[in-house]
Amino acid sequence: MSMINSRPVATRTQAQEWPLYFADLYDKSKAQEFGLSFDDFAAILEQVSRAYLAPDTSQAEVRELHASLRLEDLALARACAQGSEAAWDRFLNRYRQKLYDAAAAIAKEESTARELADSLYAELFGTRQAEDGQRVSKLISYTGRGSLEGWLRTVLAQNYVNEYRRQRRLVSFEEQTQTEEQSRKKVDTEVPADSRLEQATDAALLELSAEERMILASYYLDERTLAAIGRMLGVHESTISRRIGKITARLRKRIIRGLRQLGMSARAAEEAMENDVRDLAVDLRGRLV
Amino acid sequence: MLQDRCKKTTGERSMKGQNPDGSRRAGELAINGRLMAKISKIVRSSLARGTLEKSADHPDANLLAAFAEDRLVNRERAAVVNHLAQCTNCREYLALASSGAGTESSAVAGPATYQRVRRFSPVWRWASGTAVALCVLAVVWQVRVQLPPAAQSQKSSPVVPSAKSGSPAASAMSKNELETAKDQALSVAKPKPAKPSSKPIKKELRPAEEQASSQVNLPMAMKSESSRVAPAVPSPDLQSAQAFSAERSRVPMPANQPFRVLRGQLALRSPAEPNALWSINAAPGTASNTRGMVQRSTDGGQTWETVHVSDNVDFRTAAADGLDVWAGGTDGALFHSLDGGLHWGQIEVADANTQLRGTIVSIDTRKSPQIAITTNLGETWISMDGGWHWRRE
Repeated sequence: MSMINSRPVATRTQAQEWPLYFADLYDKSKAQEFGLSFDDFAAILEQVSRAYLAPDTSQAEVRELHASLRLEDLALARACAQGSEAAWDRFLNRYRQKLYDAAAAIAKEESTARELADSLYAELFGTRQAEDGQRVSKLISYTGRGSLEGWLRTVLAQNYVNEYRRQRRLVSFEEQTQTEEQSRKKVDTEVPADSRLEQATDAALLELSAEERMILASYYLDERTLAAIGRMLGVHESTISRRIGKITARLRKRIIRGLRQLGMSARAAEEAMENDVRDLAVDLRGRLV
Repeated sequence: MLQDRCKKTTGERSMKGQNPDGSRRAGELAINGRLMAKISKIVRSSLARGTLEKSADHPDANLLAAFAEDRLVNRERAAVVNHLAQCTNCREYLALASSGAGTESSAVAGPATYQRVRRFSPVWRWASGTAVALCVLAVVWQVRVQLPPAAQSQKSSPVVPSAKSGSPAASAMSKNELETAKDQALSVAKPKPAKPSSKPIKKELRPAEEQASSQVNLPMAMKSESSRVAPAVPSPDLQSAQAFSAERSRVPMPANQPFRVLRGQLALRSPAEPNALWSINAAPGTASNTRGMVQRSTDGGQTWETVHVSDNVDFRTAAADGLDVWAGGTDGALFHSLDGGLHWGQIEVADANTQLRGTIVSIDTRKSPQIAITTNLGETWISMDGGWHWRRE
């Protein structure tokens, strides 16, 4: 804190004119401990605001964005990317175990988790090279919007899914043919839905908020548990359960209303929904077996 | 090798519907089966159609991590949610990343607009509602206890009879008696202004503090015959360090460079008193303490109680303007309470270039909202807006 008055001001006069509050943010970030200069740090802040805000954004909004950043994490990550040994020591002390724990939670299998974490470490140290031959660390893409730990978990999740997806493309031709046949049979057994029912359902879904559609998609399409959806949205699973109940009840009413607006009688609309339910019941049992 | 293992593990998961806990999911389906079954098929196919139309502009790991930690502004959050509603991949990234989440989220708070208010689960809604009801009951009970017996009896049996009552007692009461009774009732209801103590306050003043204390502390404490009502006393469970910030947020913040509350603190749990006297080590026997403690008196200086503000500061001066109380001490520490000392927040006194570093020896609030502070180094800092902005004189 005693450095507030001397260092940033002196540095500021050497190069570009930075906003005065950058000095305060620089102190908060403890970037100096890792050898990150004030100008480097200010340039990072500028880069972050350019990435997320339009050029004509007011100064107050820019400042608010800067104040919201995880400054210590940002300085640590960028110092690591620049090759600071002190930063790497701190990073390994703080995140090494967390990274392996997160990989274990994602991969559910020890050796896979270790391999996943190790491959991310390699990316963080820098596996690709820039034009000048310097290694480029993946940490250069961290912007401090969320915590460094959260960012690492998300990158791990992306790597895990992408590796799996790449591998899935290499599935043998026989396996692929079998899967296609199964899905074709399944489609053949399905009763073709009334186009008005589809139309009414699409319209009803569009009336929902994006978050409600996300919850429905997570539950019905991705078949995630209530607890998993709750974790994604930061709420308790009972809240998700109640919301799904409310959303589905509302959706059903809207679909019936839509069907009636499309010229279906009330009884026919109810029947259309019931037919769909009977088909589904069979489908659902088949899935649960 | 990794790819093989990924295939194996995720392949198993996909057989169970990409769910590592298939039995749990099956249980949920059984419980909610009736409602789900009613729309599930048609919704699933419609949602799948929507998913196919997903945009290619995926949020990066930074935005997804910030989303999971509730650190996005509403505009950004809406965009991410809209994308997640359409994109299976990103939902999977988020779900997997959340599965390994610890307690990191929101550990460091950003500005208010970068934090969404968490939606409370019903358990918390009920708990908070019950707590508020208990608070109200506690306040009512405390007010009743504090009222003198005469006031309570007057309250229970109205002194001023209604003109329409027509009772023999009312008709027998003369007009003068009626006025006297009204005055008595009003005098009980009004808060008593603090009277200056006839006893001298035993206090050893430090040389630098002497002038400020004589000019600032007592006059400020006593001048405020404010009509403001003391705030309700929160239950101990509800007292939190955030209360100061919440209280402070009622004061409109001017644009440009807001003041900073370094941290909120808890203090005493007795009710706020707008007419209290505030001083440093004024209680008998505490004048020679090595560390200055903030103390207050609610009986005109006869007795003093120590108010816990901070353990790390040697306080040198305190000043009050009604329920606005200020206390300053070593290393530029300035604390402010908006509720008569119930909650305190530390305020950083700084302008764009420098920060107050010396020991605060006097605080002048006589021209409130103008606040003037002087230090042992002879510096004077002035805020014209109740502490939001400061300038060095």
